[in-house]
Amino acid sequence: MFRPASGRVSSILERVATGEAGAVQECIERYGPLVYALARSFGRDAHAIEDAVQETFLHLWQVAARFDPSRSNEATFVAMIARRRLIDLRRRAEKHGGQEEIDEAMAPPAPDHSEHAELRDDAARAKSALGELRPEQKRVLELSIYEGLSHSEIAARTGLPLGTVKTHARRGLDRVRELLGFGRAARASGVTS
Amino acid sequence: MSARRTDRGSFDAERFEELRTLRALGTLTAAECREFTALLAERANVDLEADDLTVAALELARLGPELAPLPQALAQRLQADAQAHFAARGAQAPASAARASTELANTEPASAAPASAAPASKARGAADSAVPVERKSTAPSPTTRSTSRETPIHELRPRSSRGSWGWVAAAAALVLALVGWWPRVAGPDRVAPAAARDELLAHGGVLTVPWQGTDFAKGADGDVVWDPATQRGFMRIRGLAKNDPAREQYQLWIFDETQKHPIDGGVFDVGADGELVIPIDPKLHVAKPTLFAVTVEKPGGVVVSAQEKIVLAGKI
Repeated sequence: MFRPASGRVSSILERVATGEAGAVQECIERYGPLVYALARSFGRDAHAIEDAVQETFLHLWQVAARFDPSRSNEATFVAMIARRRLIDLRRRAEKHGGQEEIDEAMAPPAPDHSEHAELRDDAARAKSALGELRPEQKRVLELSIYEGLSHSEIAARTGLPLGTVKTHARRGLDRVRELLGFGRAARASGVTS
Repeated sequence: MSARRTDRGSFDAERFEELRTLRALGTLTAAECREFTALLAERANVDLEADDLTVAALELARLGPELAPLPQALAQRLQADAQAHFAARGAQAPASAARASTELANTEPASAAPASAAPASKARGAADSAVPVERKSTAPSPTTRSTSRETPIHELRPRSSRGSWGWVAAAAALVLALVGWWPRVAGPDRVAPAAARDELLAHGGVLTVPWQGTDFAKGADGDVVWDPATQRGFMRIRGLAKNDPAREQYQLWIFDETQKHPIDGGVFDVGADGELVIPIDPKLHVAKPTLFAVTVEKPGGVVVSAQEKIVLAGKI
Protein backbone atom coordinates (compact mmCIF):
# COMPACT_ATOMS: atom_id res chain seq x y z
CA MET A 1 0.00 0.00 0.00
CA PHE A 2 0.93 3.58 -0.53
CA ARG A 3 1.09 4.48 3.07
CA PRO A 4 3.10 6.60 5.44
CA ALA A 5 6.45 5.37 6.49
CA SER A 6 6.35 3.29 9.58
CA GLY A 7 6.71 5.12 12.82
CA ARG A 8 4.35 7.96 12.02
CA VAL A 9 2.06 8.03 14.98
CA SER A 10 -0.43 10.73 14.27
CA SER A 11 -0.75 12.65 11.06
CA ILE A 12 -1.08 16.37 10.88
CA LEU A 13 -4.56 16.14 9.45
CA GLU A 14 -5.67 13.84 12.23
CA ARG A 15 -4.45 16.41 14.71
CA VAL A 16 -6.13 19.20 12.79
CA ALA A 17 -9.37 17.25 12.88
CA THR A 18 -9.18 16.75 16.61
CA GLY A 19 -8.53 20.40 17.19
CA GLU A 20 -4.93 20.35 18.21
CA ALA A 21 -3.58 23.85 18.37
CA GLY A 22 -0.48 24.23 16.27
CA ALA A 23 -1.43 21.52 13.82
CA VAL A 24 -2.86 24.04 11.40
CA GLN A 25 0.34 25.99 11.19
CA GLU A 26 2.28 22.78 10.77
CA CYS A 27 -0.07 21.70 8.02
CA ILE A 28 0.37 24.96 6.15
CA GLU A 29 4.11 24.78 6.50
CA ARG A 30 4.32 21.20 5.33
CA TYR A 31 1.71 21.12 2.60
CA GLY A 32 1.50 24.76 1.59
CA PRO A 33 4.30 24.33 -0.95
CA LEU A 34 2.60 21.25 -2.37
CA VAL A 35 -0.76 22.94 -2.82
CA TYR A 36 0.95 26.03 -4.17
CA ALA A 37 2.88 23.98 -6.71
CA LEU A 38 -0.27 22.21 -7.85
CA ALA A 39 -2.12 25.49 -8.16
CA ARG A 40 0.70 26.90 -10.24
CA SER A 41 0.40 23.99 -12.60
CA PHE A 42 -3.26 24.76 -13.15
CA GLY A 43 -2.83 28.43 -14.00
CA ARG A 44 -0.52 31.34 -14.19
CA ASP A 45 -2.56 34.25 -12.93
CA ALA A 46 -1.04 35.28 -9.64
CA HIS A 47 -4.23 36.19 -7.87
CA ALA A 48 -6.10 33.18 -9.17
CA ILE A 49 -3.35 30.90 -7.93
CA GLU A 50 -3.35 32.41 -4.48
CA ASP A 51 -7.12 32.36 -4.33
CA ALA A 52 -7.05 28.71 -5.31
CA VAL A 53 -4.57 27.91 -2.58
CA GLN A 54 -6.75 29.66 -0.02
CA GLU A 55 -9.85 27.82 -1.19
CA THR A 56 -8.05 24.53 -1.12
CA PHE A 57 -6.87 24.95 2.43
CA LEU A 58 -10.26 26.03 3.64
CA HIS A 59 -11.68 22.91 2.12
CA LEU A 60 -8.89 20.90 3.65
CA TRP A 61 -9.81 22.12 7.13
CA GLN A 62 -13.35 20.96 6.50
CA VAL A 63 -12.42 17.49 5.32
CA ALA A 64 -9.39 16.83 7.50
CA ALA A 65 -11.36 14.27 9.49
CA ARG A 66 -11.86 12.26 6.33
CA PHE A 67 -8.20 11.43 6.04
CA ASP A 68 -7.71 7.71 6.49
CA PRO A 69 -4.06 6.80 7.07
CA SER A 70 -4.84 3.19 6.31
CA ARG A 71 -5.74 4.12 2.78
CA SER A 72 -3.22 6.66 1.65
CA ASN A 73 -0.35 8.76 2.67
CA GLU A 74 -1.21 12.19 3.94
CA ALA A 75 0.59 14.03 1.16
CA THR A 76 -1.35 12.04 -1.43
CA PHE A 77 -4.60 12.85 0.30
CA VAL A 78 -3.76 16.56 0.37
CA ALA A 79 -2.78 16.43 -3.29
CA MET A 80 -6.04 14.70 -4.11
CA ILE A 81 -8.14 17.30 -2.31
CA ALA A 82 -6.16 20.09 -3.93
CA ARG A 83 -6.38 18.62 -7.39
CA ARG A 84 -10.12 18.09 -7.29
CA ARG A 85 -10.63 21.60 -6.02
CA LEU A 86 -8.36 23.01 -8.68
CA ILE A 87 -10.26 21.15 -11.37
CA ASP A 88 -13.46 22.69 -10.02
CA LEU A 89 -11.94 26.13 -10.13
CA ARG A 90 -10.63 25.61 -13.63
CA ARG A 91 -14.05 24.57 -14.82
CA ARG A 92 -15.54 27.61 -13.17
CA ALA A 93 -13.01 29.87 -14.83
CA GLU A 94 -13.61 28.25 -18.21
CA LYS A 95 -17.32 28.59 -17.74
CA HIS A 96 -16.97 32.30 -17.13
CA GLY A 97 -14.44 32.81 -19.87
CA GLY A 98 -11.62 33.66 -17.54
CA GLN A 99 -8.36 34.45 -19.23
CA GLU A 100 -5.07 33.53 -17.75
CA GLU A 101 -2.37 36.08 -17.68
CA ILE A 102 1.28 35.51 -17.17
CA ASP A 103 2.44 37.29 -14.10
CA GLU A 104 6.15 37.69 -13.86
CA ALA A 105 5.81 38.32 -10.16
CA MET A 106 4.78 34.70 -9.86
CA ALA A 107 8.11 33.37 -11.02
CA PRO A 108 8.79 30.48 -8.70
CA PRO A 109 11.16 31.00 -5.83
CA ALA A 110 14.15 28.74 -5.64
CA PRO A 111 13.22 25.22 -4.60
CA ASP A 112 13.69 24.38 -1.00
CA HIS A 113 15.85 21.28 -0.79
CA SER A 114 15.47 20.65 2.88
CA GLU A 115 11.91 21.11 4.09
CA HIS A 116 9.95 18.70 1.96
CA ALA A 117 11.73 15.44 2.48
CA GLU A 118 8.47 13.93 3.69
CA LEU A 119 7.17 14.06 0.14
CA ARG A 120 10.15 12.26 -1.25
CA ASP A 121 8.86 8.79 -0.48
CA ASP A 122 5.47 9.47 -1.99
CA ALA A 123 6.95 10.94 -5.10
CA ALA A 124 9.44 8.14 -5.48
CA ARG A 125 6.81 5.44 -5.20
CA ALA A 126 4.55 7.06 -7.75
CA LYS A 127 7.45 7.70 -10.07
CA SER A 128 8.48 4.10 -9.74
CA ALA A 129 4.95 2.97 -10.56
CA LEU A 130 4.87 5.20 -13.59
CA GLY A 131 8.16 3.72 -14.68
CA GLU A 132 6.67 0.25 -14.73
CA LEU A 133 4.13 1.15 -17.35
CA ARG A 134 4.56 0.40 -20.99
CA PRO A 135 6.17 3.41 -22.65
CA GLU A 136 3.06 4.35 -24.60
CA GLN A 137 0.88 4.14 -21.49
CA LYS A 138 3.33 6.28 -19.58
CA ARG A 139 3.44 8.82 -22.38
CA VAL A 140 -0.34 9.10 -22.59
CA LEU A 141 -0.72 9.57 -18.84
CA GLU A 142 2.03 12.16 -18.74
CA LEU A 143 0.45 14.14 -21.54
CA SER A 144 -2.94 13.91 -19.90
CA ILE A 145 -2.06 14.62 -16.29
CA TYR A 146 1.02 16.77 -16.62
CA GLU A 147 0.12 18.73 -19.72
CA GLY A 148 -3.65 18.62 -19.39
CA LEU A 149 -4.23 17.37 -22.92
CA SER A 150 -7.49 15.76 -23.91
CA HIS A 151 -7.46 12.33 -25.49
CA SER A 152 -8.03 13.88 -28.90
CA GLU A 153 -5.13 16.23 -28.38
CA ILE A 154 -2.93 13.37 -27.29
CA ALA A 155 -3.92 11.44 -30.40
CA ALA A 156 -2.99 14.42 -32.55
CA ARG A 157 0.30 14.92 -30.71
CA THR A 158 1.40 11.30 -30.77
CA GLY A 159 -0.21 10.08 -33.96
CA LEU A 160 -1.91 7.27 -32.10
CA PRO A 161 -5.50 6.39 -32.95
CA LEU A 162 -7.96 7.93 -30.49
CA GLY A 163 -9.18 4.55 -29.36
CA THR A 164 -5.64 3.48 -28.62
CA VAL A 165 -5.07 6.62 -26.55
CA LYS A 166 -8.16 5.86 -24.51
CA THR A 167 -7.04 2.31 -23.95
CA HIS A 168 -3.56 3.35 -22.88
CA ALA A 169 -4.96 5.94 -20.49
CA ARG A 170 -7.34 3.55 -18.88
CA ARG A 171 -5.00 0.61 -18.61
CA GLY A 172 -2.14 2.78 -17.52
CA LEU A 173 -4.20 4.35 -14.78
CA ASP A 174 -5.46 0.97 -13.69
CA ARG A 175 -1.92 -0.32 -13.52
CA VAL A 176 -0.64 2.58 -11.46
CA ARG A 177 -3.58 2.26 -9.18
CA GLU A 178 -2.84 -1.42 -8.73
CA LEU A 179 0.84 -0.80 -8.11
CA LEU A 180 0.08 1.82 -5.50
CA GLY A 181 -2.57 -0.32 -3.87
CA PHE A 182 -5.56 1.94 -4.29
CA GLY A 183 -8.60 -0.30 -4.58
CA ARG A 184 -7.31 -2.76 -7.12
CA ALA A 185 -10.28 -5.07 -6.86
CA ALA A 186 -12.74 -2.24 -6.93
CA ARG A 187 -11.46 -0.97 -10.24
CA ALA A 188 -11.47 -4.37 -11.76
CA SER A 189 -15.16 -4.76 -11.15
CA GLY A 190 -16.08 -1.14 -11.28
CA VAL A 191 -17.76 -1.36 -7.93
CA THR A 192 -16.34 -1.52 -4.49
CA SER A 193 -17.16 -4.44 -2.40
CA MET B 1 -29.23 13.60 -18.93
CA SER B 2 -28.91 10.34 -20.77
CA ALA B 3 -26.38 7.60 -20.62
CA ARG B 4 -25.16 5.70 -23.61
CA ARG B 5 -26.48 2.19 -23.78
CA THR B 6 -25.30 -0.91 -25.46
CA ASP B 7 -27.17 -2.11 -28.49
CA ARG B 8 -29.25 -4.21 -26.16
CA GLY B 9 -30.08 -1.22 -23.99
CA SER B 10 -28.13 -2.46 -21.00
CA PHE B 11 -25.58 -0.60 -18.94
CA ASP B 12 -22.53 0.26 -21.04
CA ALA B 13 -19.72 -0.75 -18.73
CA GLU B 14 -17.05 0.00 -21.30
CA ARG B 15 -18.27 3.54 -21.75
CA PHE B 16 -18.58 3.94 -18.00
CA GLU B 17 -14.94 2.99 -17.51
CA GLU B 18 -13.85 5.32 -20.29
CA LEU B 19 -15.67 8.25 -18.70
CA ARG B 20 -14.41 7.26 -15.31
CA THR B 21 -10.87 7.48 -16.59
CA LEU B 22 -11.54 10.87 -18.13
CA ARG B 23 -12.99 12.09 -14.87
CA ALA B 24 -9.95 10.94 -12.94
CA LEU B 25 -7.71 12.72 -15.41
CA GLY B 26 -9.79 15.87 -15.12
CA THR B 27 -10.62 16.09 -18.79
CA LEU B 28 -14.34 15.36 -18.90
CA THR B 29 -16.31 17.71 -21.08
CA ALA B 30 -19.61 19.09 -19.82
CA ALA B 31 -21.56 16.62 -21.93
CA GLU B 32 -19.41 13.75 -20.73
CA CYS B 33 -19.95 14.90 -17.16
CA ARG B 34 -23.67 14.58 -17.59
CA GLU B 35 -23.34 11.22 -19.23
CA PHE B 36 -21.06 9.94 -16.51
CA THR B 37 -23.39 11.20 -13.82
CA ALA B 38 -26.24 9.30 -15.40
CA LEU B 39 -24.22 6.11 -15.64
CA LEU B 40 -22.88 6.50 -12.15
CA ALA B 41 -26.39 6.70 -10.79
CA GLU B 42 -26.80 3.10 -11.86
CA ARG B 43 -23.72 1.96 -10.04
CA ALA B 44 -23.45 1.54 -6.30
CA ASN B 45 -20.46 2.55 -4.28
CA VAL B 46 -18.03 3.28 -7.04
CA ASP B 47 -14.71 4.09 -5.48
CA LEU B 48 -13.86 7.32 -7.24
CA GLU B 49 -11.56 8.33 -4.45
CA ALA B 50 -9.20 5.55 -5.44
CA ASP B 51 -9.00 7.06 -8.91
CA ASP B 52 -8.30 10.47 -7.47
CA LEU B 53 -5.66 9.16 -5.11
CA THR B 54 -3.93 7.47 -8.01
CA VAL B 55 -3.77 10.61 -10.10
CA ALA B 56 -2.76 12.63 -7.07
CA ALA B 57 0.14 10.27 -6.50
CA LEU B 58 1.24 10.78 -10.09
CA GLU B 59 1.11 14.52 -9.52
CA LEU B 60 3.45 14.05 -6.60
CA ALA B 61 5.79 12.14 -8.86
CA ARG B 62 5.85 15.04 -11.26
CA LEU B 63 6.37 17.66 -8.61
CA GLY B 64 8.98 15.77 -6.67
CA PRO B 65 9.97 16.60 -3.12
CA GLU B 66 11.75 19.85 -3.83
CA LEU B 67 9.04 22.43 -3.80
CA ALA B 68 9.19 26.18 -3.76
CA PRO B 69 8.11 27.73 -0.47
CA LEU B 70 4.87 29.59 -0.11
CA PRO B 71 5.03 33.33 -0.57
CA GLN B 72 5.08 34.81 2.89
CA ALA B 73 2.02 36.98 2.37
CA LEU B 74 0.04 33.98 1.18
CA ALA B 75 1.15 31.93 4.14
CA GLN B 76 -0.07 34.69 6.43
CA ARG B 77 -3.43 34.76 4.72
CA LEU B 78 -3.75 31.01 5.08
CA GLN B 79 -3.05 31.35 8.76
CA ALA B 80 -5.64 34.07 9.11
CA ASP B 81 -8.19 32.05 7.16
CA ALA B 82 -7.54 29.02 9.33
CA GLN B 83 -7.75 30.95 12.55
CA ALA B 84 -11.03 32.44 11.48
CA HIS B 85 -12.36 29.09 10.39
CA PHE B 86 -11.50 27.29 13.58
CA ALA B 87 -12.42 30.22 15.75
CA ALA B 88 -15.97 29.84 14.57
CA ARG B 89 -16.01 26.21 15.52
CA GLY B 90 -14.11 26.79 18.70
CA ALA B 91 -16.57 29.40 19.83
CA GLN B 92 -19.33 26.87 19.52
CA ALA B 93 -17.54 23.90 20.98
CA PRO B 94 -18.56 24.14 24.63
CA ALA B 95 -22.24 24.20 23.81
CA SER B 96 -21.76 21.36 21.40
CA ALA B 97 -19.96 19.25 23.91
CA ALA B 98 -22.61 19.85 26.47
CA ARG B 99 -25.28 18.82 24.07
CA ALA B 100 -23.48 15.69 23.09
CA SER B 101 -23.03 14.59 26.63
CA THR B 102 -26.38 15.40 28.09
CA GLU B 103 -28.85 15.38 25.27
CA LEU B 104 -30.75 18.01 27.21
CA ALA B 105 -33.13 20.32 25.53
CA ASN B 106 -30.99 22.64 23.56
CA THR B 107 -31.76 26.26 23.11
CA GLU B 108 -28.38 27.43 22.03
CA PRO B 109 -28.53 29.86 19.18
CA ALA B 110 -27.21 28.60 15.90
CA SER B 111 -25.42 31.80 15.45
CA ALA B 112 -22.09 31.90 17.11
CA ALA B 113 -19.90 31.72 14.07
CA PRO B 114 -18.40 35.02 13.09
CA ALA B 115 -18.39 35.71 9.42
CA SER B 116 -14.66 35.86 9.58
CA ALA B 117 -14.71 32.15 10.04
CA ALA B 118 -16.28 31.52 6.72
CA PRO B 119 -13.95 30.21 4.09
CA ALA B 120 -12.69 33.71 4.06
CA SER B 121 -12.65 35.17 0.65
CA LYS B 122 -13.83 32.14 -1.16
CA ALA B 123 -16.34 30.66 1.16
CA ARG B 124 -19.31 29.32 -0.59
CA GLY B 125 -22.06 31.66 0.28
CA ALA B 126 -24.79 29.91 2.01
CA ALA B 127 -28.06 28.89 0.69
CA ASP B 128 -29.19 31.42 -1.77
CA SER B 129 -32.70 30.90 -0.71
CA ALA B 130 -32.31 29.45 2.72
CA VAL B 131 -32.89 31.65 5.67
CA PRO B 132 -30.05 34.00 6.39
CA VAL B 133 -28.98 33.57 9.95
CA GLU B 134 -28.27 36.61 11.99
CA ARG B 135 -25.14 36.11 13.95
CA LYS B 136 -23.80 37.47 17.12
CA SER B 137 -20.10 37.63 16.91
CA THR B 138 -18.27 36.84 20.08
CA ALA B 139 -15.66 39.44 19.39
CA PRO B 140 -15.25 42.54 17.33
CA SER B 141 -14.70 41.18 13.92
CA PRO B 142 -15.06 41.89 10.26
CA THR B 143 -18.52 40.47 10.57
CA THR B 144 -19.81 43.97 10.65
CA ARG B 145 -18.42 44.56 7.20
CA SER B 146 -20.23 41.63 5.76
CA THR B 147 -23.81 42.66 5.66
CA SER B 148 -26.69 40.31 5.08
CA ARG B 149 -24.40 37.42 4.55
CA GLU B 150 -26.11 34.09 4.40
CA THR B 151 -24.76 31.20 6.32
CA PRO B 152 -23.41 27.93 5.02
CA ILE B 153 -25.02 25.05 6.75
CA HIS B 154 -21.81 23.84 8.24
CA GLU B 155 -21.59 27.07 10.16
CA LEU B 156 -25.10 27.03 11.41
CA ARG B 157 -24.44 24.68 14.25
CA PRO B 158 -21.62 23.17 16.17
CA ARG B 159 -20.56 19.74 15.08
CA SER B 160 -18.02 18.54 17.49
CA SER B 161 -16.11 19.42 20.54
CA ARG B 162 -13.23 21.59 19.55
CA GLY B 163 -12.42 23.07 22.85
CA SER B 164 -8.78 23.36 22.07
CA TRP B 165 -9.64 25.83 19.35
CA GLY B 166 -11.63 28.03 21.67
CA TRP B 167 -8.61 30.04 22.61
CA VAL B 168 -8.37 31.49 19.18
CA ALA B 169 -11.93 32.73 19.08
CA ALA B 170 -11.28 36.22 20.30
CA ALA B 171 -7.75 36.36 18.97
CA ALA B 172 -8.83 35.49 15.48
CA ALA B 173 -11.02 38.50 15.07
CA LEU B 174 -8.24 40.70 16.31
CA VAL B 175 -5.80 39.07 13.94
CA LEU B 176 -8.15 39.55 11.07
CA ALA B 177 -8.48 43.19 11.84
CA LEU B 178 -4.77 43.73 12.31
CA VAL B 179 -3.49 41.72 9.41
CA GLY B 180 -5.57 43.73 7.06
CA TRP B 181 -6.49 40.94 4.71
CA TRP B 182 -10.17 41.51 4.93
CA PRO B 183 -10.58 43.89 2.01
CA ARG B 184 -8.80 41.40 -0.20
CA VAL B 185 -10.59 38.30 0.88
CA ALA B 186 -13.96 39.95 0.97
CA GLY B 187 -13.64 41.00 -2.59
CA PRO B 188 -14.45 38.10 -4.84
CA ASP B 189 -18.05 37.06 -5.09
CA ARG B 190 -19.11 34.06 -3.22
CA VAL B 191 -20.68 31.34 -5.26
CA ALA B 192 -24.30 30.82 -4.42
CA PRO B 193 -25.22 27.26 -3.51
CA ALA B 194 -27.41 26.90 -6.57
CA ALA B 195 -24.47 27.75 -8.81
CA ALA B 196 -22.11 25.61 -6.78
CA ARG B 197 -24.54 22.75 -7.11
CA ASP B 198 -24.63 23.15 -10.87
CA GLU B 199 -20.86 23.15 -10.97
CA LEU B 200 -20.70 20.04 -8.86
CA LEU B 201 -23.08 18.31 -11.24
CA ALA B 202 -21.10 19.51 -14.19
CA HIS B 203 -17.88 17.83 -13.25
CA GLY B 204 -19.54 14.48 -12.91
CA GLY B 205 -19.16 11.63 -10.53
CA VAL B 206 -21.93 12.80 -8.27
CA LEU B 207 -24.94 10.96 -6.97
CA THR B 208 -28.33 12.50 -7.61
CA VAL B 209 -30.99 11.26 -5.23
CA PRO B 210 -34.57 12.47 -5.58
CA TRP B 211 -36.52 12.79 -2.35
CA GLN B 212 -40.16 13.19 -1.51
CA GLY B 213 -42.10 14.64 1.38
CA THR B 214 -43.65 12.22 3.84
CA ASP B 215 -47.07 12.53 5.38
CA PHE B 216 -45.64 15.33 7.50
CA ALA B 217 -44.76 17.29 4.39
CA LYS B 218 -47.00 16.19 1.60
CA GLY B 219 -46.07 17.71 -1.70
CA ALA B 220 -42.53 18.55 -0.72
CA ASP B 221 -39.82 17.26 -3.00
CA GLY B 222 -36.40 17.97 -4.41
CA ASP B 223 -33.17 16.07 -4.55
CA VAL B 224 -29.76 15.59 -3.05
CA VAL B 225 -26.58 15.74 -5.06
CA TRP B 226 -23.54 14.23 -3.44
CA ASP B 227 -19.98 13.91 -4.63
CA PRO B 228 -18.38 10.90 -2.92
CA ALA B 229 -14.91 11.98 -3.97
CA THR B 230 -14.90 15.46 -2.51
CA GLN B 231 -17.57 14.79 0.12
CA ARG B 232 -19.48 17.81 -1.04
CA GLY B 233 -23.16 18.00 -1.75
CA PHE B 234 -26.33 20.02 -1.81
CA MET B 235 -29.92 19.58 -0.84
CA ARG B 236 -32.56 20.96 -3.12
CA ILE B 237 -35.92 21.40 -1.44
CA ARG B 238 -39.29 22.56 -2.62
CA GLY B 239 -42.48 22.85 -0.65
CA LEU B 240 -41.20 22.36 2.87
CA ALA B 241 -43.06 24.42 5.46
CA LYS B 242 -41.39 27.41 7.00
CA ASN B 243 -40.14 26.78 10.50
CA ASP B 244 -39.77 28.92 13.58
CA PRO B 245 -36.10 28.52 14.54
CA ALA B 246 -36.92 29.33 18.15
CA ARG B 247 -39.13 26.27 18.33
CA GLU B 248 -37.74 23.75 15.88
CA GLN B 249 -35.31 23.30 13.04
CA TYR B 250 -34.79 20.93 10.19
CA GLN B 251 -31.86 18.54 10.28
CA LEU B 252 -30.36 16.46 7.51
CA TRP B 253 -29.30 12.87 8.14
CA ILE B 254 -27.21 10.68 5.91
CA PHE B 255 -27.65 6.97 6.42
CA ASP B 256 -24.46 5.14 5.72
CA GLU B 257 -23.87 1.41 5.63
CA THR B 258 -20.64 1.80 7.50
CA GLN B 259 -22.03 3.85 10.38
CA LYS B 260 -24.06 2.69 13.32
CA HIS B 261 -26.02 5.92 13.44
CA PRO B 262 -27.03 8.28 10.65
CA ILE B 263 -24.50 10.99 9.97
CA ASP B 264 -25.52 14.49 10.91
CA GLY B 265 -25.70 16.55 7.74
CA GLY B 266 -26.47 19.85 9.44
CA VAL B 267 -29.31 21.97 10.72
CA PHE B 268 -31.14 24.45 8.56
CA ASP B 269 -34.20 26.65 8.42
CA VAL B 270 -36.79 27.23 5.80
CA GLY B 271 -38.02 30.76 5.71
CA ALA B 272 -38.78 31.37 2.09
CA ASP B 273 -41.07 29.96 -0.49
CA GLY B 274 -39.78 28.41 -3.64
CA GLU B 275 -36.76 26.25 -4.18
CA LEU B 276 -33.99 26.10 -1.62
CA VAL B 277 -30.46 24.92 -2.29
CA ILE B 278 -28.51 24.21 0.86
CA PRO B 279 -24.94 22.92 1.15
CA ILE B 280 -24.22 19.69 2.97
CA ASP B 281 -21.13 19.35 5.09
CA PRO B 282 -21.24 16.21 7.19
CA LYS B 283 -18.81 15.88 9.99
CA LEU B 284 -18.06 12.24 9.30
CA HIS B 285 -16.83 10.68 6.12
CA VAL B 286 -19.72 9.34 4.09
CA ALA B 287 -18.56 6.03 2.71
CA LYS B 288 -21.64 4.17 1.55
CA PRO B 289 -24.71 6.38 1.70
CA THR B 290 -28.02 4.60 1.41
CA LEU B 291 -30.57 7.23 2.28
CA PHE B 292 -30.87 10.95 2.87
CA ALA B 293 -33.56 12.17 5.23
CA VAL B 294 -34.65 15.40 6.89
CA THR B 295 -36.17 15.42 10.35
CA VAL B 296 -37.68 18.13 12.50
CA GLU B 297 -35.70 18.59 15.68
CA LYS B 298 -35.37 20.98 18.56
CA PRO B 299 -33.47 24.21 17.91
CA GLY B 300 -29.82 23.49 17.29
CA GLY B 301 -30.49 19.93 16.27
CA VAL B 302 -29.67 16.73 18.07
CA VAL B 303 -26.77 14.33 18.07
CA VAL B 304 -28.94 11.25 17.64
CA SER B 305 -32.40 11.69 16.24
CA ALA B 306 -35.40 9.77 17.43
CA GLN B 307 -36.64 10.18 13.87
CA GLU B 308 -40.11 10.90 15.13
CA LYS B 309 -40.84 13.42 12.42
CA ILE B 310 -39.20 12.65 9.11
CA VAL B 311 -40.35 15.14 6.51
CA LEU B 312 -38.22 14.26 3.50
CA ALA B 313 -36.53 11.06 2.45
CA GLY B 314 -34.71 9.81 -0.58
CA LYS B 315 -33.30 6.33 -0.94
CA ILE B 316 -30.28 5.59 -3.09
